[in-house]
Amino acid sequence: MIQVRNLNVTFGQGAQAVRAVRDVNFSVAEGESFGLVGESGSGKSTALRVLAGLNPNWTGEAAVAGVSVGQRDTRLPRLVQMVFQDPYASLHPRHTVDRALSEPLEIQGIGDVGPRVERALSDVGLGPAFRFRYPNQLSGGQRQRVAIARALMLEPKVLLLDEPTSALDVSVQAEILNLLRRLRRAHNLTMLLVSHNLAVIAHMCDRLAVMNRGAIVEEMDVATLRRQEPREAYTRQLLLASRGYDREVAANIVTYD
Amino acid sequence: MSKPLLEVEDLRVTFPTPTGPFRAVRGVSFSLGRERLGIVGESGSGKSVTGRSILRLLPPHAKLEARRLSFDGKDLLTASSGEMRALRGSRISLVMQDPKYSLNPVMRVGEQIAEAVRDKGAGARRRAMEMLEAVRIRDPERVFNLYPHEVSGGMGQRIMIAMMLAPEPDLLIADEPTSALDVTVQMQVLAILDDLVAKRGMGLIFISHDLDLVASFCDRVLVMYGGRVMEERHARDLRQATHPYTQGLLDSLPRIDDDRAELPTLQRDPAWLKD
Repeated sequence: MIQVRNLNVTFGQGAQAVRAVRDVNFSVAEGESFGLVGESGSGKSTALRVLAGLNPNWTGEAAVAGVSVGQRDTRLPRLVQMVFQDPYASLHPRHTVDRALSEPLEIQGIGDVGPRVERALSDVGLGPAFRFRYPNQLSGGQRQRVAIARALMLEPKVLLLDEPTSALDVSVQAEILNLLRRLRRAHNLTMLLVSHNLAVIAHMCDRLAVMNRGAIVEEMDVATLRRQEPREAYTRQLLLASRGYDREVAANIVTYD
Repeated sequence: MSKPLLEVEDLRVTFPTPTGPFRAVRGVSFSLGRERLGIVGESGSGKSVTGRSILRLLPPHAKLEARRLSFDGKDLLTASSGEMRALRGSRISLVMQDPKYSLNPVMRVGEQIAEAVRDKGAGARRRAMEMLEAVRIRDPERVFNLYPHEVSGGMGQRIMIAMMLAPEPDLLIADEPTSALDVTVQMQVLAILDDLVAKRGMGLIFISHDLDLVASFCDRVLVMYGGRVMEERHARDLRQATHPYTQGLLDSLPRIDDDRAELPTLQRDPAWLKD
């Protein structure tokens, strides 16, 4: 469903050029959930934004359901949609929930707007009472539910998720993760999830790739992650550091280039 | 046992709002010695307001009350603003979450650290350099002359910690000091704080939303919800917490080695906030 081959992304030019993504390859099957995990600057979000069509400066191949994401193909909005990290920044503050959810339908010329908006709201666990509210009348978790509903308005096959719960409290994170798992089953969604949180990836994904400095360090299935048996030293260090504070581990941290 | 460094008894902070007073902190009590005390809670639990109350750094319209609020025998409730200024920075320091908003953008970072040193003059520059080394910045000479926008988030956070530690405070209040950092950088920053508590006998209040981190880093933990302390435990025993709120928070965290299909969501009980 998702094909990425020899993906390279460079920001800036000449001596200041930064290779944000370096020769990245991965593919995700239909209905599968794939995770990209790494620290800041690892290129995980940049790779995701290429697939969302938000990053024009890339080379290589990137396709969703056989449609290249480089051509601004009009089929893409109905194939792939994205949920962003910060639910406070990703909803227009002066647009009601109704407007945010109906806009994609109107752009695509899809009728039956009212019932579709109500169905989308109930799909993400929000009652019809939320339809005419503004984002400032919603909590962080409710906003993220609206952002997920908006991404699902065009019934895409692929959902791209960029740290969808890292701005939320842990109890709200649990609700959103449960919701995403339920929606994935109900709509047979293919998911690509970017996160720095290994536990979130372990909970949500079937397979994952670990990234560092723009390149994929290793790819593994979730069982390997749960057993904490990665192949690479970089991943082992990341796993150790995620377990909480340990004097010993802190003293032995090395930088991998 | 020696006298505690900080004593807080029945701390209450109220903010007036158009819909009536909002009680952000409702009767918090704890005492702190030369140790690492964690305060954990979700957003709106009152953990940050509690930290700021100790320095009396609250908006002017906020109402601060307590039966007792004393630092090293000094009553912070009756201290004049001049006396508070003398304490802030030099004896009690506050490290905040985001270096992007807390450093002066038009001043070299080294100068900002030197400014915090108690004895001004020629020694200040040398002391700033020492502090940069203490927080494990590899090339202090170069970093001294950088502006905040030229350093990474992890380095910015270490610079803030260097600045707050330069005057050798007795008490450091760290409000989510590592939440914006990568886990490996977070570990290194915590190791620096750990050393300072162990070597210099500094008291540390570590405010965080991350239960696992606090459980592994602190000596004692206060769990806050709705402006109140739900329970206080030894950090090592946090996993055995008995309060349903703490239990609920711990259960709702996904773990690397679990394969639960559904995460239990927290059921909040209004009785937790009954007066």
